Amino acid sequence: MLAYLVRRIASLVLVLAGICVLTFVLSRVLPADPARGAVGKAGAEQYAAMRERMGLDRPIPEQFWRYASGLVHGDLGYSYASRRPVAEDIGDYFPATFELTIASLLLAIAAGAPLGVLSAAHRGGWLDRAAGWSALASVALPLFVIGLAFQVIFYKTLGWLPVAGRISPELGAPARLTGMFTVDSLLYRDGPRFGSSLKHLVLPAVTLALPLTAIISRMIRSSMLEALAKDYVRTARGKGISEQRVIYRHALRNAMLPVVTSLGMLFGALLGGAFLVEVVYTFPGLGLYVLNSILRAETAPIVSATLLVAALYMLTNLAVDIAYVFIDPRIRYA
Amino acid sequence: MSLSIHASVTRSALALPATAGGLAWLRAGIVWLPLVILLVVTVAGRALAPYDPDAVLVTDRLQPPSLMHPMGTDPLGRDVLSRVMTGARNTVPNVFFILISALTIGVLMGVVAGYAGGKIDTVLMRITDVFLAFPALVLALAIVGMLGANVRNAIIAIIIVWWPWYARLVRGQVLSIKNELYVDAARSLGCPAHRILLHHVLPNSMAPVGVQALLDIGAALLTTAALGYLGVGAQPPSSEWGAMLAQGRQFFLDAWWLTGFPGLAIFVTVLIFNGAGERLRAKTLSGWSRI
Repeated sequence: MLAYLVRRIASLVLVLAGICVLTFVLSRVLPADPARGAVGKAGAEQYAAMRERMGLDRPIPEQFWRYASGLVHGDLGYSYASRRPVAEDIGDYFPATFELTIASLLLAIAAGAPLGVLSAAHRGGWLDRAAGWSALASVALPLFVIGLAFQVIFYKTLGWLPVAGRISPELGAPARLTGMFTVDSLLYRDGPRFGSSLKHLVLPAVTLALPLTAIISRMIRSSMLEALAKDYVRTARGKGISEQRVIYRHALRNAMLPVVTSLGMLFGALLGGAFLVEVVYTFPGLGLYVLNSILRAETAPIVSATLLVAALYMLTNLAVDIAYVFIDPRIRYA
Repeated sequence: MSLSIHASVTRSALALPATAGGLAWLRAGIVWLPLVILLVVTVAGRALAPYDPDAVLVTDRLQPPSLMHPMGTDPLGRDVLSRVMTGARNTVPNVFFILISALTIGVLMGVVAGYAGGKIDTVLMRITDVFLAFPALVLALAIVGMLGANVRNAIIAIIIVWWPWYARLVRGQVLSIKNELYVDAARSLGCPAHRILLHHVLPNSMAPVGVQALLDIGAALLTTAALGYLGVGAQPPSSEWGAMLAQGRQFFLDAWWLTGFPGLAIFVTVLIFNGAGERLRAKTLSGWSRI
């Protein structure tokens, strides 16, 4: 196990280094000109000064060295649009994306797992068929179409839920602890802010969770069906154990394994989807930040946010692999 | 991204009872007829459209769906239905281009890595690891952000994030094939490496990856549309579906049909390709183990 961990982390570090190189190549070698973006239409003199200030007049290897050592020290560059270091911007935007992603993941598991179990238990029944067809539809629906429909229904027609921002502007952000508004307001027992931030989170989270719910429910269904056909299930039934116990204690525990394996990959899809959903709902997270930076031709924020998401994605995959050992005692990494 | 996952969902939903003799043609029709219609619209959309998709008529601006304009009109008074129909031509071929390019790069990398093995394999696979370490849409967005927002760069960006999946898949295939008896036989007969690769390894490793690419058409279209919606793909006045979405975004609460109908077109197209891909998979690989 320890040897496996060491090897796994070594390769993680290697890939992380590769990610840094790739993002550097993206930001320096491609035609985008950060200095031009920062000074706008200003004259040649300011432009040259900005190039020098950003270190763009230096040789490429030196630029990379400065970039990499900056990363190690937590220096992600400076945003000329928000007039503060990118790291501070990301400190504000990242928790929003994280909150949205985690909320959707929990929703999708909470809805998808029971749906999958029930579909498998009543295979071919109306629920199974309905779930199958809606799964088919929800993976083909673009997230922004779902979002649009929700906005028209729950905001414009019914007026139940807000559609922009993370919290109502009159209340303002809750006292900061994690940066996730629902969590912070809950920890500080700040009822009104908790209510408001939750209301703002519902639609984006449900939108993002919908395709994932379909995927999880279908995965659980098929691995449940596989498990239910196994000898140990027949044995359990033969011993006279109640059907409910057979399904939940015997089949489900084994059927969860493939789902856990793909959680890491699904998390990546969620992160990508979150970028989209944030734009649909003007939810101020990393996605909106990156998009605004693209419009302003600012490279440092784009690169840093991308880097952060990749690192998070990799760590999740590592965590899933490690968790796997504890969930499935049969697995021993050598 | 959700590549293979997409497929698995479609598979389980379409896994109806084995095709019963009499209804087989009906079932085949349900899958293939929409595909044919889609291809016809893609090729001849402009000729079939009821209006000129670029005809500006400001007096007719932002009309909701009606008999005259079943999908309404846009802020310039252009007919949305005509634009959606013409848009197919600006949208669907791009997706094919993306997949074919990604497939070409992926197969090349995968075959070289799998067949050469050793250091070359390690280096190539670490490179794919780096690309796969990003959520696809996030990396594509960053690339297009750096390259500049237009449809060509969006296509390039998606190709860049797409090929590593095929490289991995092909490498796995090649690894298992290169130790097959017939490859050994060819080698012992003095067959040169490039010939073994081209005539023995490549043809036999293509089937699963080709089917996977078919199943990925839907996912690739969704990614292209997402970039378009974000405003970094095709730009107005193009009637590419993503560009129409981006334009409609500013009006969405007042004129839902501007995003609703191109969105619906994407939805239906993805459904059609997912269904057709799944059918092809079932047909060509019925003897294969699952991939």
